[in-house]
Amino acid sequence: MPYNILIVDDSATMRMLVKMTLKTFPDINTFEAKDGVEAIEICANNKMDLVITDLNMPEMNGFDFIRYLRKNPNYKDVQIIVLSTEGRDDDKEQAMRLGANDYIVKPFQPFQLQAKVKKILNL
Amino acid sequence: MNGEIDKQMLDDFLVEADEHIVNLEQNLLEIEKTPENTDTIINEIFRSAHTIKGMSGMMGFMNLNSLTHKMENVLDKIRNKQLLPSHHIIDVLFSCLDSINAIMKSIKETQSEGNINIENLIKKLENILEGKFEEPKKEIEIRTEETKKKEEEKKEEEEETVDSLYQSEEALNSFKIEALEIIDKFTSDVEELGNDLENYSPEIINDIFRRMHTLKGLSAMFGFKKISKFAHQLENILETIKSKRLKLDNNVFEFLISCSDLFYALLSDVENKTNTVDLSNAYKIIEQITSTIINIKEKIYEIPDNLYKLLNNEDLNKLVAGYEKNKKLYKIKVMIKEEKIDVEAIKVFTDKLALFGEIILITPDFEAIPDIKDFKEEIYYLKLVVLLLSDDEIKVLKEIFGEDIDSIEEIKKRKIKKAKEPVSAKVEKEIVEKIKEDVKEKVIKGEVKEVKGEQQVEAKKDIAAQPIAASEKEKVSATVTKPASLSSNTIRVDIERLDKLMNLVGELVIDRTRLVQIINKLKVQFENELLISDLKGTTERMARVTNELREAIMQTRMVPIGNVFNKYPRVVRDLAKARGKIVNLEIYGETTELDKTIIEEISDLLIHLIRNAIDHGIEDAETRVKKGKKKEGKLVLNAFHEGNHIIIEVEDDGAGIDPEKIKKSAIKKGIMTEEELKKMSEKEIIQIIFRAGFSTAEKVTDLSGRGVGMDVVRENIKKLNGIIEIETEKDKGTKFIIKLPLTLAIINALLIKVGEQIFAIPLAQVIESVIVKPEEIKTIEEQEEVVILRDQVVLLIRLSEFFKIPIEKKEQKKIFIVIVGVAEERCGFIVDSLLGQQEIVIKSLDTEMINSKGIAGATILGEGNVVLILDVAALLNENKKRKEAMISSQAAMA
Repeated sequence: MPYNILIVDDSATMRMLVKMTLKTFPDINTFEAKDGVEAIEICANNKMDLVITDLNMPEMNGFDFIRYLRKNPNYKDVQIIVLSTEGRDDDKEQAMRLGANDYIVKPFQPFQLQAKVKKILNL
Repeated sequence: MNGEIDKQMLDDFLVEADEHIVNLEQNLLEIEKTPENTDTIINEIFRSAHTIKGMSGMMGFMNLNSLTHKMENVLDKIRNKQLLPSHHIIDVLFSCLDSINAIMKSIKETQSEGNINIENLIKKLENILEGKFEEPKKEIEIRTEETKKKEEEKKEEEEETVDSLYQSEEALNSFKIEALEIIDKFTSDVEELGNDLENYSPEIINDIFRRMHTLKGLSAMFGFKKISKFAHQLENILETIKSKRLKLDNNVFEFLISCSDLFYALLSDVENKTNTVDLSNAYKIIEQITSTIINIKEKIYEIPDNLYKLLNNEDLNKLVAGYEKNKKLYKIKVMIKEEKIDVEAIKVFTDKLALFGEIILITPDFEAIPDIKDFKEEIYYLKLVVLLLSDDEIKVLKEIFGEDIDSIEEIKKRKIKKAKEPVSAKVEKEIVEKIKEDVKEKVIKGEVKEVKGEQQVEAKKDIAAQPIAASEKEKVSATVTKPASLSSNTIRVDIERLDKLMNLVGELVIDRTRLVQIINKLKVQFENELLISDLKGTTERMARVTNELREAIMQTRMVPIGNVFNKYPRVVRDLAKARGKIVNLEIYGETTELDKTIIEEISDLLIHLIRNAIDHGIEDAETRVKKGKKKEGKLVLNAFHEGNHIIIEVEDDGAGIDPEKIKKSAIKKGIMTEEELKKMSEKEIIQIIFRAGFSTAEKVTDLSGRGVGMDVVRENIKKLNGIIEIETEKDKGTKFIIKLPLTLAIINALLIKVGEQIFAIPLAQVIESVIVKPEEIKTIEEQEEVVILRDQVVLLIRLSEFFKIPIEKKEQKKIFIVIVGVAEERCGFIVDSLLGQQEIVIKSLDTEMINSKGIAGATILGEGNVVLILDVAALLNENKKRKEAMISSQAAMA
């Protein structure tokens, strides 16, 4: 079964970059959402294995989105990688405390993301 | 900038320069081979360099210009035998040639010179000129501290190595588009901030902040460090505005505006792979802003929150001043005994206190007053709190006031984290201006192309004059000269060229119709001829292509109406604010497209309708609530296509138009008599608002209510061959419906016949055609023929009489009437027969022929007949005049 990965970022370019980075993995389906609200909708209709989310987004930001996912038992197995321009420690700390599994600071190199995805999904 | 001329010039320049470069190269080789035979060749080389110098100067390629200029100087010396063409010199000249080629390549690809370094070469050439050329090896640059620093900075700004994955065309394009989008939004948001620097909504700042943040991250991903660093710095500044530490004053605002220009320029650098933008001035401003904020932080002292709330700015300043003089702050509580409560006594006490320092504040001690449930009437709670700045020690004060005061404590000073008010940054206006100048210069020099991201033809009749006018002063430069050269696939075309194309296609359309008719006739004549069906097939194909061609050309002239609609939110906001009303504007159908010339015309008339809706339509919140409506008024702008027309609606949910009010007003203003009004239907009465000099508003506002507004609307619509209708219901609202042709060049027309003459009536103005019995036509006041249609009296004009066309007089059982409309007016033309609809191309008539009133132009039908197109508006006017003349002459006779 291919893995479902949801990319949440308000920047279309950023989503494209992440998608391109993940192309190295043959067995994945990618989904895209431009904010937390859209992301929740997609999560409700498709079983996600991994969510890669930005923090700073309109409508619903990344923190609220992670909080939502972690509060809902349906999503307890979803892995979450935060991909954010915010490199501050307290942001990292908060994201991890809310239940993110990993944190990558933008700008990132493809291998960084690839390595983390590989590890998290046991690819 | 006139893109077309530029393109043409650029092409010419490239071709010519290439020729000269080839010559230069051949001749240089020749000289190297046979240095003794230089005279004629060196002359040729000199001329080539000279020509390239001149041309590049004209085109604004300054690097090329200065390089060839120096080459020319060297060559001149060789020509005059002041220098010998040594190997070293030839080598240098060859490297110059290489650089020239590199620059040319960059120009061909990006229309700019790129960042090819010619400094070294110029230095070498200068050395040659000064005779220092003998020691080429010693030409080691002496690097001063400054150049070192500069180089480091440059290195830092240069693009980092980015993973090749992210350098794919696709990703990069996506970046460019999104970045442009972000900057566009940044620009419009900042402009919106400018509307009201005092009371901007925090949402906007948040949005701008988030955009900068996104841009920072994005550009960093692609290794555009310069952009990402700049966005980061700006993000910091925005953060201080967001957290109300920095006051958004005019200077800061102007700086933000200039940043938008800088971003556009930076993006065009990305596109051209150049590095032309100098951010040093912008960083100066950023530094000025940040330093003010840091300084402020250190200057303000903290006092406990509960007291802080009580102090105003002036008190705080006093406090800070006192602190700086090492005074102490005491909080003194005074219990006021019952018998002492009189102003005099308190004053005596405070005067005494004032001898020992400065009183910052006297206030009742709210903490001493218990909650209402614990309040006991018999206990007297009133205490005063006095804040005193004093040089004296607490002991001294205790001793002196011991009896009178309840308690005294010193408030220790602490450093503060926040200022009470956002502070203004000391921003040097000149530098902001400089930034703007810098960017502008680029726009003028053509280093940065001026292209709009949208897919639209920016067809201005007066193209050449535009950028210069924009560069002269106004600060709107940000919107006028968007210097983003993101290779959008648009070109600018003079609208006259489009007009010409349209005309030519018009001719084709006529021929197409004609061809079809000829073939139909031929088919009857040569029924069995095989060629005929061939011809028919071909013609049909051609007809199809012609149609497509016409559509395509029409498309190029089409502009989305959103361009006009987008101006209105601001108008509505300002107007509503000025009138103390709450109005929500809803816009629909902004992507609906229509001809550019029409777009330009409707802008004003829509503003009038919007003003009217807000001034007279929508009630103030109080009245609305009384009427049981939501307190926010609703104003809806809508546009959509209907056949070959566009319908624009302006709808409000206000009070509606009250016919009674109009009646009163019309009588008062002498526009109508009571008699006349009695005969009119409600609909007709409402249409009085279109009369010149009419106004129902009780108070004349500066914007509407002078009675010109609706008149202008009507005239504008008339000009565009459109019609306007009003739907209104008391307390429900009013809706203006405007119907306009999509384009003015090719129109759908109804062909009618009067006698032997065929006329065309623009379909946009045809409301319906009806057939009536002769007895249904009534005559009123022995003059006017009218017909009553659905309770509305419609005036009739016999076209045969109007144009004096002889017709056979015979008994008709049915009469054809075409109901036409001009703006709000309706009228019926009596015609002999209806021939059907057809697409026609308007050809204007020679001036001599225009004398015939009521004719707008002519067209050629398929059969080659010339048909006159009726000018409905003029015809109605002329008819009125003639009737009036007749009445007055009859009156004179009587």
